[in-house]
Amino acid sequence: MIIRDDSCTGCRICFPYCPVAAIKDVADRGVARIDLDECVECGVCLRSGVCPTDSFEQNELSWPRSLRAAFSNPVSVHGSTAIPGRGTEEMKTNDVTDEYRVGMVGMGVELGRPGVATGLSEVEQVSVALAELGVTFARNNPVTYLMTDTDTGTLQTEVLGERVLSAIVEFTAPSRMIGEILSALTSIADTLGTVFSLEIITRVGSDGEVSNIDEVIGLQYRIAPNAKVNAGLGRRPVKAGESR
Amino acid sequence: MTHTLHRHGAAEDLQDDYTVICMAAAGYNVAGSGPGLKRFLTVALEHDAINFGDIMTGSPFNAEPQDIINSIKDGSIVHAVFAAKEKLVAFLRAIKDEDLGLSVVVQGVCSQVEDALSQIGQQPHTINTSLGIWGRSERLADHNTLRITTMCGHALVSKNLVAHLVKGIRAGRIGVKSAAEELAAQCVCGVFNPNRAERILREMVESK
Repeated sequence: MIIRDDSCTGCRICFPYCPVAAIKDVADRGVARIDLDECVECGVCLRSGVCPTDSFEQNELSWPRSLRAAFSNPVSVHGSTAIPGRGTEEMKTNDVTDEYRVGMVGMGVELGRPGVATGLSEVEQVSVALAELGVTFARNNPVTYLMTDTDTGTLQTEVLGERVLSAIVEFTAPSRMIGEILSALTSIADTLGTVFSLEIITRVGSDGEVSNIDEVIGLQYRIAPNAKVNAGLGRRPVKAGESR
Repeated sequence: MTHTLHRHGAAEDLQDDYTVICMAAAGYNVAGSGPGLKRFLTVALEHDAINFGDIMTGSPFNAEPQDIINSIKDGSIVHAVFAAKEKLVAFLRAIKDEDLGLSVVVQGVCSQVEDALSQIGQQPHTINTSLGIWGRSERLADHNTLRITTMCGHALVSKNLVAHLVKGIRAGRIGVKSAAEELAAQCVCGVFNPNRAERILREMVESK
């Protein structure tokens, strides 16, 4: 994103809209500019429509900078990773896909969220640590797409200098590994320069018993009172000759 | 895509905040899903959804409601927000009766959502739980600001905009409802809860 010098009046109305405070004054020139190192190309400034002189302009983003928009701007076209959005359908369609089954967990480590942003080098720190535990990274996830090797979790070197609003390392593992995974994440959390939001996906047993998440992960970890619940209303289309 | 998870707040603070997502599964039932997804939004409006939308078109706070519905096509991901559990239950019952065959995911206080599903004869299929925020927590916004900003899971609602609007309300430059709507307008998929934002803004303005 850029601000056109020839029309910006330096009114500063746009400043609070930027989620990463990347819009700054240019000293002595009476205009604003975007700090391109800080900017994550989320597009909020342009989309907000607050500029009275329409001075924001989405310039063409070349690789690897284009990754910033792919991860940070939910309405961008995701040519960089070939994957739409920051993550996968995960549990939202599990009633149809059956990706997550009893005895396993899905987890997502969303670096940079909420509102801090992250470098992709920090994303790699986490993915490498998780790879050492032998987790299975999610297919169709843009972080997995950027890995040179899913056995090591390493990302393409040329992307490591990029910064995004958030990026999700998604993976599955046997339920028995949860303690080990949480312990590894506890160790790495303090070495990062950012935050991450952590999620866990569990399939409800066929007996209808709701998994007791406290027992699954251990009481020492804080669990939010709210959750996302798949209501089980989805189904695969019935093919010719099949009965529902 | 965890954009409705990780909404910050205690259970009592989240009693008026339910989001519902409807989508098809890639490789399974995307073809022909458009009419069902449109129907989902139409039924949501009939049941007093306080926000709704589709990521590619927007929400009523930044696009025309009919344009949002008209733009829905096969594979769209649609959302609706409800401010009361009874509204949620009535909506879920209606959606179950529609028999869309599409996946429906409800975000809210887990026990309340499980009870809502029980009332319509459904049991949870899969649960996605937040284990909170880890790492450099000193870089986070304050608790009240996070209660607002995390209602946009894409983090498009800036903490500085919250502070700016709180200041504006105190100075009499903008009303609380208008400020909440300005925040909602930054969220492109319609999962932001403007009613809850209004309540939290009021608390922030009234606190020192």
